[in-house]
Amino acid sequence: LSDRDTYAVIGAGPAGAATAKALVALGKKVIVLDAGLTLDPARELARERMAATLPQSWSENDVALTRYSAQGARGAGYKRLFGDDVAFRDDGVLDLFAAPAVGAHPSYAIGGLSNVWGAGVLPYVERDLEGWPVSASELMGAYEAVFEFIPYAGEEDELSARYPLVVTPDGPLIRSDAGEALLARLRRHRRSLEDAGYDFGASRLAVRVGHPAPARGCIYCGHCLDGCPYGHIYNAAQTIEQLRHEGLIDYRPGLHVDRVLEDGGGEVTIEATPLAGGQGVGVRATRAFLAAGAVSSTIIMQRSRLLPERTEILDSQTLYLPFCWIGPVGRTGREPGYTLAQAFLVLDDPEVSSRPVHISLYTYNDGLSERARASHPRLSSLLGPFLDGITRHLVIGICFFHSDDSHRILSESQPESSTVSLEPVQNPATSVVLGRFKRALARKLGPLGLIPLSPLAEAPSPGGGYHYGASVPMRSRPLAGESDTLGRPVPARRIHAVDSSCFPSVPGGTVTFPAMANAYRIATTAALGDGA
Amino acid sequence: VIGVTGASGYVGGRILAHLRTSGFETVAMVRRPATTDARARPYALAQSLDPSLLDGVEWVVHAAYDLSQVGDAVGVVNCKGSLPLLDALAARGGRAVLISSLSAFDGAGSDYGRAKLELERAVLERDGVVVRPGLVFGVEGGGLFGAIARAAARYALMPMVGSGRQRLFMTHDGSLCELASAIVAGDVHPDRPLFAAHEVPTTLRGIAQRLAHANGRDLRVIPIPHRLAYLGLRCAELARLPLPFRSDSLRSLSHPIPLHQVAALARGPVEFPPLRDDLWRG
Repeated sequence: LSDRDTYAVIGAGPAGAATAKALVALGKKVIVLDAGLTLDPARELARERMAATLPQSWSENDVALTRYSAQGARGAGYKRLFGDDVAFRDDGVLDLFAAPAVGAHPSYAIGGLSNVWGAGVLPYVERDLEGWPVSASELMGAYEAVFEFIPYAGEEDELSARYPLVVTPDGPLIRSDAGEALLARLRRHRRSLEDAGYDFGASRLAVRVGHPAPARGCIYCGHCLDGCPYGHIYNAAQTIEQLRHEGLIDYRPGLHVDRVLEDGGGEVTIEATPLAGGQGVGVRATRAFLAAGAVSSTIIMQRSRLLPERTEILDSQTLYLPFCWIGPVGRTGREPGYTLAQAFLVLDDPEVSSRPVHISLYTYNDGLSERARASHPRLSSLLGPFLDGITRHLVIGICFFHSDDSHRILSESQPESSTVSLEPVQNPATSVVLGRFKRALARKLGPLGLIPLSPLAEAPSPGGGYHYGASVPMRSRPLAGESDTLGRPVPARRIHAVDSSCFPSVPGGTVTFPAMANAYRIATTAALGDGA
Repeated sequence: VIGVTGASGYVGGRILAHLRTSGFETVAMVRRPATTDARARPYALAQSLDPSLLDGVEWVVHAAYDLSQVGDAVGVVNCKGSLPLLDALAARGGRAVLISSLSAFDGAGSDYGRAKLELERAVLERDGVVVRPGLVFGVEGGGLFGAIARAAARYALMPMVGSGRQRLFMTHDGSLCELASAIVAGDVHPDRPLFAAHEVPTTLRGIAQRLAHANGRDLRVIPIPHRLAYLGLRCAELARLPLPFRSDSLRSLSHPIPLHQVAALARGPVEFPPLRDDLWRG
């Protein structure tokens, strides 16, 4: 295969979709190479049946099939899409050894990790970008461009002072009663919270709001955490499918990209293994954009001799912190609503960490009590009939820490071998920061009726929160193992790492959205440099 | 010509006035037409129609509703009682705009909600337009909102069933009137009931506290258990005591429309503002 003047995008996740969008907008010829695993057919059919009707007419079988279940090939630790572990299924090309203490895993599904995305869309601001060679204002135009093709639910509120809305959201989502009461209480204590370093506000989500539902927006069926049957939670697969449908990209699923090699003649060769078996494939392109997700992109760069055989991937440590909410949960809590994050809280307190910590707050939903039953069966049966009443007062905080405060992941991979191993690298600072963080929350939020249940907190192993990257950090003057501000690993000129692997650090926050914006920025700048 | 039933009530009256000032030719269809209003015609639910009632009428804004009925009579008077008007209107090629309520929805627990829902079906079958407002507020503050506003201005303590946490959508009367005139002007063609309220709900308690704050005071809520309140109201009703609030209204309040049904409703061209102080203080 030979494609001169073609731009190759490797991976069809959020960064790949943003890159493809940017290139198509400049009229470039784009080819997307992707493993492209899809949902299992029974579940896809169930999803289609559900999407064709209103939630009250869904069949019990379809709901049961597409809801989270504790059993599965990969165990309970992996997030599922409509009950399927497609986002983390292997494509059978690499011999991947991931140590039990590593949560990171490549995603080979079309849409990548956006299949199981919490959909939070908060921009990185200057404070998050300390140490980056790219400023927040340079990313601003790309944020706007990304909002052109992803839905946006949010509202102007306290949070907007520090985290700009960028564009006007499509509208707010209607919060749960507990979510509403919780935000109201935080607002009443705004001054003292701000003095203690907290910023807070309504969540901002890549969720479609519009009427009438479900044709144009969220219908509040409460299925969010298992995937939206109507497709109102953004998934990069939607963008890829749409571009493909409009004939604007050449989407080639079923390919596992092994190496990306630059020749002297100003071209790039991409070597890939077909998943269906048979001879390896070579694709030639003007430029290649690595958007396979930080783990896969890192492995590809290692196998292409662009990164050392032992390369560290930085993680943003995740902490699942349950709170007991002493406050109204409402009489209407029993009915479904949307079950993604209700509110965002950011703690920027030097006594806790030199970096801000992001907290997404989820309130009670049926899924939570199901999960509580599945993960603590004995405790649940003991509590029996009271469990529902207790879980109603449960608020789950998913907290993300800066990579400086987090453990890391060591990726070992050699150019000539298909064996890859991922090992944890401990950071002694992590447990200190986590401890200070829990104590700070207990001191400040406890008296407001949001009491952290620290003994029940769970810190997943490195990579378990799916916020990682920075294996080939962007620098203004890159050395070996680093990249320039266009994500080009030294010495490459036509190969760009555009996903979070080129982040200089992983700030605690919503990683996907800035990763999309950064990919958009790199693709636009690189393609503009080539001229028409 | 546009007829407005229930024009002597709060919502019907506001709509009639708005249509008049917007230049529509209107007739008030009321039980006892005022002798001073030459453009009023006699109409009452569940009674025979005056032969000249619909002369020249293209649209009827149907806002009449008899709140005094209880039990089975609610449906008989309000729903069946509206059919002669709806049929006569449809036979002349006219259309109706029903001012329904967000208490009307599939699975509504109150007699009020069920009667409105049945009425909605009748109107939609006859090519009419259905509007579902929430709790209507405005400067003149009629109905429940007016009662809360008066109480919040006077008392520092307010008893509330279930602590007043029930979800409520708020409808500014001015926007409701604008929506009604957009419909009779032929600008709106929904295939389902129109949602006519601010998109973000509030609670009874939230409203009362907001009104109290606007008067520079704090309001404390005395929670009343839901069951106790319901039993009390039922007993009083059985004893035929005159009450300002009925057990059926409590059912409406405590079992609000599910959000997924709200989301599925149609939207009109009019924006509904939240409960802002300048919109009810005048």
